[in-house]
Amino acid sequence: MKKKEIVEEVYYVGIREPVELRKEMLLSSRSVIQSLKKYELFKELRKEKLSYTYELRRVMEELAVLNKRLRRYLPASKMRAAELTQEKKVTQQTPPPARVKEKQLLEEPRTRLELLEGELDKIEDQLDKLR
Amino acid sequence: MSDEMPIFVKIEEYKNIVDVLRLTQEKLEKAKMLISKIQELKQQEDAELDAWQSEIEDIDGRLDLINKTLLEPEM
Repeated sequence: MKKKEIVEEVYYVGIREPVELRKEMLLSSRSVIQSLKKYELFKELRKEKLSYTYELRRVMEELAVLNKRLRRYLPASKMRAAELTQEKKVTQQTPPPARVKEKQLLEEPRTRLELLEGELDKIEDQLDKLR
Repeated sequence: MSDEMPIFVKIEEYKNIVDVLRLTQEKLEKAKMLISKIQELKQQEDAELDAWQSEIEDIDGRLDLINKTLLEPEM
């Protein structure tokens, strides 16, 4: 059998400062690996921050509960309320504010944000009464 | 009736109020501590991101040099 000879011409590319180039490549690889290591640390930091954030949310919820309890314990002064009813009678002719719409929304399923907004409205009402 | 008139609270409820206030104070302190921890971690995160960015820029510079060397071979 006759061997098929393929003559391949091989070309070479000359590289200037090969040692420097190799060094740069190694340094790049090192930097990439260091970046990946940093990413792992970064992930840990975020995880820690997230756990603190969750804890903060829990504490804030506890604070809301305590605040509610405090309001329950404090006496509801009816003295101002009586005065306010008289004032309201005078101002009743004005069109009802957007709160009516909110009451209609109560029938729909409420998100957490809406519940909180409702709570805030109640507090605002109470503050208005105190003014 | 005047708004300045004193209001009397039952002693049991007064105790409850004091307890709730104490607990609220404790929770507030905890919330403050947690926020400062979160801020601290956020600062660390920002510092890490800055370091990361400068490292990536460093890698970019090195790759530019490697590219230049490889694309402009010696004849």
